[in-house]
Amino acid sequence: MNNVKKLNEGSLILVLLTLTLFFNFWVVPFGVTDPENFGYKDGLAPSFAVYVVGILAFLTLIYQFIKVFIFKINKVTNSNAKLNSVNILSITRSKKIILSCLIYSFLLVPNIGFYFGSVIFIITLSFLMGERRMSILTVVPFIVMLFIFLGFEKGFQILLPEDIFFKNIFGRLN
Amino acid sequence: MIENILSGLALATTPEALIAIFVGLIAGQILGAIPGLTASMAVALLVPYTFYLDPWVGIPMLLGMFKGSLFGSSITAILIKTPGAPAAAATVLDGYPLAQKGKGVKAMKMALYSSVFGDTFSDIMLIVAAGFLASVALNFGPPEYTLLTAFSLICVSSLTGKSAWKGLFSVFLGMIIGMIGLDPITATPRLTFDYLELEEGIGLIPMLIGTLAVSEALIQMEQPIKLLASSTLKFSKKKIDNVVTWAEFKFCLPTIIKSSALGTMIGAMPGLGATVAAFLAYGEAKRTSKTPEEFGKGSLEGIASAEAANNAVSGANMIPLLAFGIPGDIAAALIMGAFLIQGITLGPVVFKENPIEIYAIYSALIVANIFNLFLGQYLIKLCKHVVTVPKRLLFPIVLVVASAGAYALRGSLFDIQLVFIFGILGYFMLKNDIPTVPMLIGFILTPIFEENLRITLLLSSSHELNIAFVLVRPAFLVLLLIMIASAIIFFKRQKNK
Repeated sequence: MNNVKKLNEGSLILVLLTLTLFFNFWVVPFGVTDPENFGYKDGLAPSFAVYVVGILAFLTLIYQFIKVFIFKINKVTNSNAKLNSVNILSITRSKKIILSCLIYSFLLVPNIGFYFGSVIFIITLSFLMGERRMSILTVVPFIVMLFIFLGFEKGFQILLPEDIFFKNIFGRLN
Repeated sequence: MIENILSGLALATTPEALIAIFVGLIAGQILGAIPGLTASMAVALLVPYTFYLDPWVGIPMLLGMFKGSLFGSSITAILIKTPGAPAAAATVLDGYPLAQKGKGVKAMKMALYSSVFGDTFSDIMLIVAAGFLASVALNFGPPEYTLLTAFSLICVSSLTGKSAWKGLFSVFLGMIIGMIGLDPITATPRLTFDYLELEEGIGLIPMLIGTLAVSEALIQMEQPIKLLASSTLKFSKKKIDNVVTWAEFKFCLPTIIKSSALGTMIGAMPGLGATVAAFLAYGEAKRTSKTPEEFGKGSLEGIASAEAANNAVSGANMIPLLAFGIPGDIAAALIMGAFLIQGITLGPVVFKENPIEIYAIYSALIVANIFNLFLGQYLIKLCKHVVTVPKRLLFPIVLVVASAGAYALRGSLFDIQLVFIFGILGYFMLKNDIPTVPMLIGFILTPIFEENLRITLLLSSSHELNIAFVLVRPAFLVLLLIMIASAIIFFKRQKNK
């Protein structure tokens, strides 16, 4: 269940190695198309730099893989201890917070607009972090939105993603 | 000559001009502190209004705003690990750890003093050596830029943290992300998978806000509920923790001078910018410091180097602008636009045709620095109170304001999504002790490095000496010798330790 825990160095190298291989053998060949007969004299092909960096990353990981798995040189950092001290409830909360961030940016803002989406987001996060006072949960997000509206839209003339509810309320401030 | 200087000084110190500088500085400091709103954006917002103002009200206000926003961006970098602008990203490295120790005021004061020092240093260089510096900088072409950025990438290794392989992997990851978008030479899409938003490339601001601010907020939000109800930052009550002593400043002074000089040189070269200067100066300061082990843990030298360098770039950006009419970056281009609106064409002839105006600009720059020093003290006091808000309220608010700031630059919803994608990526990286800063440096430097390397190769194909043509370029050779010398000094020092 605990998917945010720190991986040990060996597992981390294996995961990153797999990702690097996937990058070099799938992402680059399908993601970069070189113009025909393009070479050194033309200032290098577009895929050249991508491959070089991909291969360098792969070599770095292979070197570390050999150190850890063949020569058994594995420095254990003390971060595991740090993690173990973190309450399991906190880890569950962090998953919910990450999910809230994704919902906010991918669903709320594009669909219901910046202001209303942000009010829901602030209330949700504050609630997840233990804020239970109704006065704070209801008043603070609206005050923040008013400041953002006045600062961005009125002060700097920057229009934020259109909002279905707040446009009518703030629109009257014009 | 003296008459012109005095007339220029009089023009820049009228009550109206002084008020304009003051107002510009306040607005700039506040704007700069908002994540995502950069100095360029601050200037862009003000340029249209300068048309309606008297030239010697509009221009000083613009210069004040530009300078104010640079310092403002470091405040949030120190207090909540959220740089107001990319240029303050290197300040996070030591500013935030020092603030966590209760010495936030000390960190902000050191940032203020070194900012003003760096700014003044580059302004003096602009006044006394604009022509010379600009001609040196203009000798820098693609081969020199390639060498300089390659050297900077190598210097990144000093910022890789405890585990070298994780730092290197982080750099490579940043380099790959930096390659997403249109190829710099052929303009063919690269790693975009027909996703239109990716063709513009990944924006630096969403990546920066996500990787530094959101990831830190996610980690902080894991704390026990009791801690989340407490104030975001605590300030030590000891006097020594709230001031920068003369001894501390004196200790940092060589680093500040060196970083200011480095920032001035980078600022004089069009295209590199304050972020590159800050990271390069930080790496250099760590490499040559007597206490390199303190870097990353709240070193005053670290804050001073990053701030002096990024502010020195601002004055130095005016060097090619005034000497040749070539803007060093977007902000300088916008300032040039404001001058054009007022009927002043910058370039070599401006010194002959508008000498009084030139001295007035110099005077306004120096006056703005003095005002910045005093106003900065008040901003520090004000911001001290903002971070006493409980974490469980402040972090959600920071995330929302950061999203608005990220959206503001390109008007793209995709940038808001990127903020959180990079936030989650940064969170997992930090959880696994993979440093995120090398990724940012790799991301910033790769496009400059790759483009210049490929242009160098293109140039070499039409040259009779082929790639060896770089060796007949004096600027390349001088730069190469400086780098070799600094590498030798570094290894000698390491050996002696």
